[in-house]
Amino acid sequence: MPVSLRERVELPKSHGGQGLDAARELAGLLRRQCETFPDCQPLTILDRQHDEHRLPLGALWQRAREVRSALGERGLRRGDMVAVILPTGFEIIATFFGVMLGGAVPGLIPPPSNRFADENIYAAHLTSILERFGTRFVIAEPAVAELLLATPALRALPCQVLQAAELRAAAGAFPIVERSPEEVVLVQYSSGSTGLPKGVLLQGGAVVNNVRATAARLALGAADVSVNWIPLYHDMGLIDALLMPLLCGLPTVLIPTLDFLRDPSLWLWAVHRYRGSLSFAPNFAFALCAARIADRHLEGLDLSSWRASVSASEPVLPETVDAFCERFAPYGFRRSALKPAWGLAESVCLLTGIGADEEPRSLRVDRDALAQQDLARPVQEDGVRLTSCGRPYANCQLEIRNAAGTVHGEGELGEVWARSDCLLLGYHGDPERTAAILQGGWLDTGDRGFLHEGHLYFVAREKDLIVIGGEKYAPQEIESVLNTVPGVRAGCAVAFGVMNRNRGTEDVAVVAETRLTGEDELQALREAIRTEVARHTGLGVRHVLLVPPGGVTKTTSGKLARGATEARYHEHWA
Amino acid sequence: MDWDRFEEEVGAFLRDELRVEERPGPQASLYRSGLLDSASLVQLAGFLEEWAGVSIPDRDVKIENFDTLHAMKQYLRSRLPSA
Repeated sequence: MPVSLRERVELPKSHGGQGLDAARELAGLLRRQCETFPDCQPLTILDRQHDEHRLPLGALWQRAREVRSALGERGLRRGDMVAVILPTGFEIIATFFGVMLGGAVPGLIPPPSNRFADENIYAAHLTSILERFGTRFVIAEPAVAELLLATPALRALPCQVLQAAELRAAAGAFPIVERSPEEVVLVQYSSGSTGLPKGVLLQGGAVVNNVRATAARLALGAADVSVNWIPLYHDMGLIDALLMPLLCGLPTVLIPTLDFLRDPSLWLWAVHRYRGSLSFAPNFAFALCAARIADRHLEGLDLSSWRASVSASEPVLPETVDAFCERFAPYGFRRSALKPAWGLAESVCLLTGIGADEEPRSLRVDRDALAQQDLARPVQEDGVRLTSCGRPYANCQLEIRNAAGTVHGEGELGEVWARSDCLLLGYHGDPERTAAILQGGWLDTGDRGFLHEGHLYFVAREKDLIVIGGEKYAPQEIESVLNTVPGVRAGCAVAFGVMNRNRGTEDVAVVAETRLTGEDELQALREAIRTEVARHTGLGVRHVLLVPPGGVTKTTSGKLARGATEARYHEHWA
Repeated sequence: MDWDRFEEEVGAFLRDELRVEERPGPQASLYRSGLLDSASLVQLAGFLEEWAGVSIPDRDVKIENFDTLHAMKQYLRSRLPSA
């Protein structure tokens, strides 16, 4: 039955974060929460029809143990890789924990419905991921399971494809596998330059350490209620929207991502209804809410309970912060509730942020000094305005280094390196890449930034990644599609992200060489590029620039120079 | 729901909420021409669902069904219970 979002409800009170302080390991802590507080109802799912479902911890625990037993009957072993492809709901959560209870390593993968990609292309891509990571089980929603079972290349793999509904067995039939804090408990798939994702391996202790540090910085307490729509396959979704409230014993409300995108006001009304205090979202979501919800949908809205709405996983634009705070101030939103933060999948999730009572701060620096001398020189007017990502968490040290490894001082721009007790163990099956980013206990984050008065300011990424709505895409994924479009000179097309300050996130831009010259032919080619990129990757291409041979810049060794090409035509996306 | 006002009301949503400045004709491509991104297409589906009083499953939110005003109209009619 649909509920009224205007009506305020009090979710059952939490058990107040007991256990997190002493905890060292993820699965054991969860077990203790479920066994000690079986009647606590920490999970609520709200969809766009305003249907509301609540689940007690005891039922989650029962279902997770059923999944564990059903997988045990099918031969699940300690350390097995298990891919979970389910929509936001109870099954994905119970399945995720069920896999963990069997000592295996769950990894969440987006379902095809979150993209517009062609289903067969999705199946082929998924098959390569499963093969590369030696995945032994896939647990998927019915449509995806059927698609995979109809894919010949997948049937050839030693991988069982199962629907969640098939996983029925007596809860106690197989034992719960005890884990040490050093053991890998989950894998996060993070975009890689080869077109296939990297498998970020995380240990149980590291996950708990990260959750504890975020909870401490935000001063979470028993009165907090978490309200989120961010997908669970996203690191901030899994760690901060799901695991953190569960482990801290806080009620958490989850909204399916596509339902939020169809109706962004759902997020705000859920905060109103449940007196939500805590959320995690990328910058684009704040821009979307500020710009694209009509006033008539906001009458009676009360956001005064919101005290920590964390903005991370893509650059936090100062104008987005201002626009959101101004737009929702009349509805009780306080500026101190918007909390810019920074982190990455390789450190479980967030590593920096501002404190519970702090307002977001920004800094103006001289544009030329930043671009030409790598110096952040504060100025009063003009210049580049950047948002602070906050100070490093208590368990994190940051260093800004130059390419030679020398550590920079305050205000000097360089590569951001991090040391913490929540770093990844490594990339699955990729010791070379692991060695490249983990050096002497320090993580090369791949981001460029500087420190000012102890705060981290993100400036750019070292690597050519495109970040749209908080999700990372490798340009190579798009370029490999461009090379197959008739009319594009193969190997002479680049893709990159250009910031769209109105949308608060990046747009995809493409520069492709072609020998075609007629305007009709060029228009047809632009449309073909957009269609093919959408079909393969689900991404919309905002800017298509077709240039004659020689128009794409390459390095002296013949490699594509994306940054130089972007700069060469900068007036097209300014 | 008034089909005679379909183009006008979708046009108003595109202009007022999705910030599309151009007014597209019935066969003009919104997505393939780059006027809309994929997130906007999802939001448009939310609007159309409410406008036509039909439910649009996630799997149907794809370019074929929403790229032009004409395609949207055809798709929505296919979702209406037959008279």
